[in-house]
Amino acid sequence: MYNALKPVLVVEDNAEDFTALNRAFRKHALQNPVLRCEDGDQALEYLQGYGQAAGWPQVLPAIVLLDLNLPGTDGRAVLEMVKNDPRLRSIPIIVFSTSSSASDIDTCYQLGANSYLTKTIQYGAMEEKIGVTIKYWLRAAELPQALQV
Amino acid sequence: MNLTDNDLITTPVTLTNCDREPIHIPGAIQPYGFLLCLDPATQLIVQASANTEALVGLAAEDLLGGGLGQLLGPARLAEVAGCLATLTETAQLLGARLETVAGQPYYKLIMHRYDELLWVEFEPVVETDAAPLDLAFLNAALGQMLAAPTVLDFCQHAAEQVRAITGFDRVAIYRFAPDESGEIIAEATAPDLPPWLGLHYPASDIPQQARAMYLKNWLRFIPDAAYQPVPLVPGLRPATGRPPDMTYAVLRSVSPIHLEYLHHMGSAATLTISLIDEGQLWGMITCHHRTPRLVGFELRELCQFIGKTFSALIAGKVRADQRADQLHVRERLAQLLERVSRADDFVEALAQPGPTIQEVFGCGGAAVCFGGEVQLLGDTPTEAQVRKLLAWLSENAPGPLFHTDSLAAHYPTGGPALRATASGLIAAALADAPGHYLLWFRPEVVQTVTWAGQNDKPQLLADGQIFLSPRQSFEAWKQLVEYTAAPWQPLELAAAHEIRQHVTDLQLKAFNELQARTLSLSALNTALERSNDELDSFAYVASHDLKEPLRGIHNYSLFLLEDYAAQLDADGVQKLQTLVRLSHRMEGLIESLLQLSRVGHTDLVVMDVDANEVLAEAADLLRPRFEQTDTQLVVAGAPWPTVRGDRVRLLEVFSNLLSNAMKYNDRPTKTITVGQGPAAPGGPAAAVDLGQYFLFYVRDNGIGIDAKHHGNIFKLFKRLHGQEKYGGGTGAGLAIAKKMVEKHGGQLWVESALGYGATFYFTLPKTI
Repeated sequence: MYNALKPVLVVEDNAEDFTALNRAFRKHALQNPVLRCEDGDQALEYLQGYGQAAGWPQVLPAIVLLDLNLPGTDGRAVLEMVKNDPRLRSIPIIVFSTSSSASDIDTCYQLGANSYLTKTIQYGAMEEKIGVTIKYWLRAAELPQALQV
Repeated sequence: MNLTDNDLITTPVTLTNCDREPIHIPGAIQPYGFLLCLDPATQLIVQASANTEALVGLAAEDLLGGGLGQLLGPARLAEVAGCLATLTETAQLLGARLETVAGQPYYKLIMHRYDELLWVEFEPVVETDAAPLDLAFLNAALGQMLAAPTVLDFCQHAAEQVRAITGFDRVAIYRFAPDESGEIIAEATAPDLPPWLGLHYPASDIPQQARAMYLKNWLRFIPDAAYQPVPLVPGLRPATGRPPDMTYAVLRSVSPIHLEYLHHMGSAATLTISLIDEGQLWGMITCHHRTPRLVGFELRELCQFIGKTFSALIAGKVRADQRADQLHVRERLAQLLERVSRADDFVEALAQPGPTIQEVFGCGGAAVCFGGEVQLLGDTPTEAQVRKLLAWLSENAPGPLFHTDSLAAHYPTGGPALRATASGLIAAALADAPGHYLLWFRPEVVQTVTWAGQNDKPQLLADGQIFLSPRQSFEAWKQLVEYTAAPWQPLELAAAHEIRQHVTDLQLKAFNELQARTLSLSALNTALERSNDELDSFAYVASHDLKEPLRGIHNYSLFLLEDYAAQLDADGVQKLQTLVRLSHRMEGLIESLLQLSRVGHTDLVVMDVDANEVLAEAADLLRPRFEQTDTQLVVAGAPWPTVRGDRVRLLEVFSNLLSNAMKYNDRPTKTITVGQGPAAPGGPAAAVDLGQYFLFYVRDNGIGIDAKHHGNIFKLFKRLHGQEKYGGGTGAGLAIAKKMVEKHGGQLWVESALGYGATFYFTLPKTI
């Protein structure tokens, strides 16, 4: 399982949300390493500069869980840049956001998001969504062979 | 061709050259009297009329070179000689018996001095010479003339007086128009004569040189139009080699053309008196008789006196008429402007009676053309013609006010067709937008002239040649004034200008008000946008920045419960559970708020919606809960119509109302009636106009709502009951449902009494 070795990138500024996510990953026995970026700039630095960026893994993530509401460069900008970058656009990006507004959802799919999940307050529901996401993207789906350095 | 008087003397006069006929030097007189011209220095006769022999038995040739002593006795001669010494152009009258002539006839000597000659004209005495100067009559006549309220009354009096004095069959008063054409405006006739009142004739009927002479010599007299002219002997004055100037001679022979004209008129004798206003020929008093008629000099003088009195007074009468007109126009103008100022729609008001723009001053018709609308008043061209005219005006009539009394001359493509209603036009441009005009129309003047003889057939000579007559003059005048309307008076133009000014001021005012309104609207809009933005940003902040920590609180409480429950006592566990519940509830409130803000600023997706399907879907969603709660759903007024609206939102409205109806009910058997159509009489719902709106209702047999809370229940987060009661909820559902209905243009309200169930009604406009 080559995919299993690829990291899952979580772009999430909120520590409590990240904690809850990790709890859900553990619950569903996620094998892949989890990388966290706290803001959009960090995420772009890693993705656009992978292989050269110091301190970052030499591989691209298998999937990205992207929060929209980020300090500085926000999630939509990150999504747009990644999807407009021929080297990166094949990475599945799952938007994971508080916003349930139709315009946010439409915008993200327009920009090329592969999936859109809303964060609910009820942890149980959130845990379940994460489970489904991992099962689908990391086990059921075939992912593209990402570029190797 | 420039002819001298001398050339013309020997040229036959025709209608085409009569303008140049030297009528002041005919070299001949009318034969009812005789003429002697004397050298002023010697008082000896230098010229005499050829009829002296016929009248007094002395040949003209024999009189030449002698003095008046050949006719007068010494006493009279001395008197006349004294008179001759002081003569001017103004005639002096002396009666004299010709003592040296056989039969000693009595003659009137009419004497004046002109063209370096002393003129002595001998007129026989007439039987009609009664007491000429009747002061009582004159006094009454002048009194009447002074008291006449209008020009027309004044003219009528004058005509009647002259007829009373002279006994002519017909006395008519002509008035000249600015174009020198004439019109008969008053007449007094023998009862058996056809009237000429209203007749017009062309300027050419009175040649220029005749008009010039009429200004000098106020009175012309022809006692017998069938006379044979009597030449002077010699024809040319020896001292000058030309005929003497007979401008002031009463016996002056007139133009043969004029005699022909009189003949065709059926006039055997005429007397005309000039009416002169400030050096201009204003008109004439003309007298006609069917048989020759000799009027004595004194009576003619009296007529001339009346003419001069008339002339002195006419300007005042004309001014009085103008003042009356002016007052009339001013009054109506003031009424119109006042009404227009007060009107909500000033354009509309221009065409409403009391008065309309057409009634302010004399015109046949008018039109108010504004904003693509054309309102026609009175006699006007057709709407299509007016629209074409507007297009022409926009192209060809720059400036605020265009006026003409002959539209055809300016607008050859369309004008001629409008002659009957719009030979005259005033066009007041209202706005910079093309086609915004006030128009006043005036008919072709010919269409407005009526006269009593208009149905007479033009008379023809036997050989078919038309000759001159009043009727022919009228026909000739009609040809000349084709396509022409009565000219617009300065007063009328000023009124049109004032109406235009007033309306444009109102337009400007309206425009400024509109601008102010637009500004305040845009300010309102800005404020609204800002508050919308604020609500949006609040909602956004609420959904993100508030929800995040809330989720943290909620999750960590849960993690505590999951991971540390064993180390907590029951109280601790319960507190954590409360924390979880409260954070959950708060999220509900935030979510509702967000939803409400979205209803406000998201556009509806309007389409045809089958209301039956929407209801079925709402009922399906709620079915499990209806079954749990023993709730029966009854549908009334089915099948329901197809409505216009946003399907998703209508579904939300029904779901909300149905679940409320189910929740707020503590009866063992809960019944919800959902219906469509007319409501029972009594409540506000009965007043809904079902032609314009669909009416839906959701009725329950539940706990009801006290009237004092009917407003409150629609307020955001307003609950009437505790959170644990009736299934809880954030209290946002009705606020959201109401807002959704209002967004559609409908209304949502409740009719209920505490304890007797509630009916929620909402309307949807039939056209969105």
